[in-house]
Amino acid sequence: MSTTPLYPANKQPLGVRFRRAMTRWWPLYLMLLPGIIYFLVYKYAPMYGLVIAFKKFSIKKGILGSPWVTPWYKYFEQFFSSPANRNVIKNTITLSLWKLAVGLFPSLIFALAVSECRNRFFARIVQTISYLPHFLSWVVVYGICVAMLSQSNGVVNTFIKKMGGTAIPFMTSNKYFQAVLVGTDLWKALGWGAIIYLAAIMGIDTSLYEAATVDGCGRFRQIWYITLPCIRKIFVVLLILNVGKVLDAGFNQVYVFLSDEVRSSGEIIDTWVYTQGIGKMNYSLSTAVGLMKSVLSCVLVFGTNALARKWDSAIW
Amino acid sequence: MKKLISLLLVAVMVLSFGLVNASAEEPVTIICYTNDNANNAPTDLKDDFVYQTILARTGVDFRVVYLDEYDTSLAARLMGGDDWHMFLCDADQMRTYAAQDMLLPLSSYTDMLNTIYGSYGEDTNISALYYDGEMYAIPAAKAISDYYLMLLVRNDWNEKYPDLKVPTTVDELYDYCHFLANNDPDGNGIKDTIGFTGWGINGLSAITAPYDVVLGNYVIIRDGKVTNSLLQPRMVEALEMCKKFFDEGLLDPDMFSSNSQVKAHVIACNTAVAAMPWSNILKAAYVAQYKEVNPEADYTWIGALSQGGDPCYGVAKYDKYAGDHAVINADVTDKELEAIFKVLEYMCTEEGMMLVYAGVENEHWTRNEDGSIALVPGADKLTNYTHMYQLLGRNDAFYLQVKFPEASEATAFGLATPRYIYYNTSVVLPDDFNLADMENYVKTQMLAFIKGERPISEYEAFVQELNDNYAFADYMKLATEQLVEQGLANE
Repeated sequence: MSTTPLYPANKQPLGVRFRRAMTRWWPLYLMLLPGIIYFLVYKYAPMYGLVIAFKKFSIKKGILGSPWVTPWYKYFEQFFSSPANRNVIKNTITLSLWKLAVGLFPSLIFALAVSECRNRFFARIVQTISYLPHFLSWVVVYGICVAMLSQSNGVVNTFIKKMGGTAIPFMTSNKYFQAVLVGTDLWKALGWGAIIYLAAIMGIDTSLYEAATVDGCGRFRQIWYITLPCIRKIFVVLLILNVGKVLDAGFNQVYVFLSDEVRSSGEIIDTWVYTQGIGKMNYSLSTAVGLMKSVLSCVLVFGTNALARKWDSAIW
Repeated sequence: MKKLISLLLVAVMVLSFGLVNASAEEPVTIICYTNDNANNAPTDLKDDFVYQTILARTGVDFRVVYLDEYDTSLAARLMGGDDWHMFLCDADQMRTYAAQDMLLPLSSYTDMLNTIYGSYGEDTNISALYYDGEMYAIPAAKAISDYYLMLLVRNDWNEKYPDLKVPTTVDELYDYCHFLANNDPDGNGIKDTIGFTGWGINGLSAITAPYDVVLGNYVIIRDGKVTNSLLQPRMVEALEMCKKFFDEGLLDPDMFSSNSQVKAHVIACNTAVAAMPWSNILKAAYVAQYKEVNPEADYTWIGALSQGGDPCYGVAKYDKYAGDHAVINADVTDKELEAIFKVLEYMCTEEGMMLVYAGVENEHWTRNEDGSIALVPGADKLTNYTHMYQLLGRNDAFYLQVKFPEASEATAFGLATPRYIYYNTSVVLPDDFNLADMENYVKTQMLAFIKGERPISEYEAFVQELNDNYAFADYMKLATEQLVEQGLANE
């Protein structure tokens, strides 16, 4: 007769369970330790600085010594009450949603195309070339864009003019500016974004394809019935991660591309915060906006995950 | 043996003590941040003759450090607790930092201030040096760079078309640009001549100022009354003229967007009229640059235009002190403060002043018999970074004459030409007043009017928006109160 343990395995006191896990899996926990320390030191400890969103911050008095502001929501109110900021929020969200909508599928399609390519040598070359833009800084991309799209002497407009058309102000008109931002972002991220899909496609059991071939499936049916369902989860994970970035809209890119002519369609929350908050020493305001952005992004990530759970694709 | 070792140990201790003592004699290091970008400054202090001369004369290790993206880098350095003693800033920044007790009040150092006034002159309007009744910014004779902007045209094209009238009014400027843009003056067979260029929306001030209007928030005084450029009666007329330039394709399409400022050799290829500082076209170095690209090109300047009013080139600050000034850290030690004053005093001597203007006597410049200064041939290349050490400013007319004799006629002409004087820098705003948002909105809407994205007939509605959404009326009320209080206006 087996003896019943005093506590069922998962009902033991936490301390006991912790000690057991530690003795049993200590090498794994040891390997985890640097990561935990990294997050504690660089991600969690600095968070105490968030209190300056509610304080009138002074460099001399420091974070803790600065006086509290009344009312506590003063800087949040300052951000929301300015008429410029309605436009800034609108730009951020439209730009992000465009990037999300336009950016998700091309990487997937590109990954499928590369994985279906029979000539491996050619596929590798295409893949490597497609990564390259990812490693260029936005300043360089801006330079390339000016060379290509400038109204006076850009390659595209020179061609249009030679064909008898009128030059199009791609970089300087509110009409085209967001499209240029979305387009360059797509160009830069396409190859890099495909890596995760390619890795997922490589991981699919080849016997599935073999069985499908035996059953008479063509290539498109194999993609439709095997590849796509197998990478569905990855697609949803990337979607959830990208939804979390909706309020970001890409500071580096917009900051480099922005000019007075396109400010009304191009200014986003981050560039506004940078010029108003950091440039003008208004740290409390920029922290308040940053905090608000983080909270909203968190809500969005949780929301999307809850939605994804309905299709059994949630991250957690 | 043991004795020998102990003797050696004692000797080492004594020597190291001596070394420590010797290090106490080392020069005091002073770090001053600047936004004055001297591209040609030597990267190694050993090669920096200004640094070396100051060190030799004053015994102070005086380092002027340039920061890129100045406002943010400076804020980051101060926040990060970096070691700093001085930095350059404008009046708004000075007030922000002074409000946080970070800057040293200077009013009590009268000897020092009098030395500076004695060498660099004193201006009567010095409100930009003060915060809350106390002086925090070190007075400096400011470079009058606002007066550098001129209308530059191609002399070679004027000679090519002797019948083409050199413009004196805005209407004539339009005809001039229109003719050149459509008649292929460089004869390359391509319609690529740009009528008019400049730096950003300010570049258009040469077109609009003759209407007594500038496209932006500029507080001005007319008939003793405080008003704003945006409220001037001929604004619509000026906007329509700019739109006419734009519609006819005469404006450089990149003039508003170009993040980097247009370079001399680029515009020299195909631009009829450039509203730019002479210093970016007429300096010998730039002339050489554009001659290399286009040997035919020959730029000269024309006088300010008029259009039913007084002629005017462009904007200039009323308050000459409103430029950048050096400020001192409130936490400097007595020794450091002494060292700072030593350097400033040295810059007030003739030798020190000439050092930061043009270099070392007989090495970089010589004195003629009549007392005038002449640069040693080739010295201009060695001394073209000294301006970053001009913490006390400079006597601009003298400096330009010495440094850029080739442009002396242009600089004299520029300094004598009337400007659109504005008073924004004499207005101190409360902390929570967001002027930048308003100014950005004004800029975007002005461009929308010019480009036809918004009809000019909505101009009044636009001013109403400024009042409703950006507290423009409150801003003007504040400006009026302060300028009347300063005795600059009557109402």
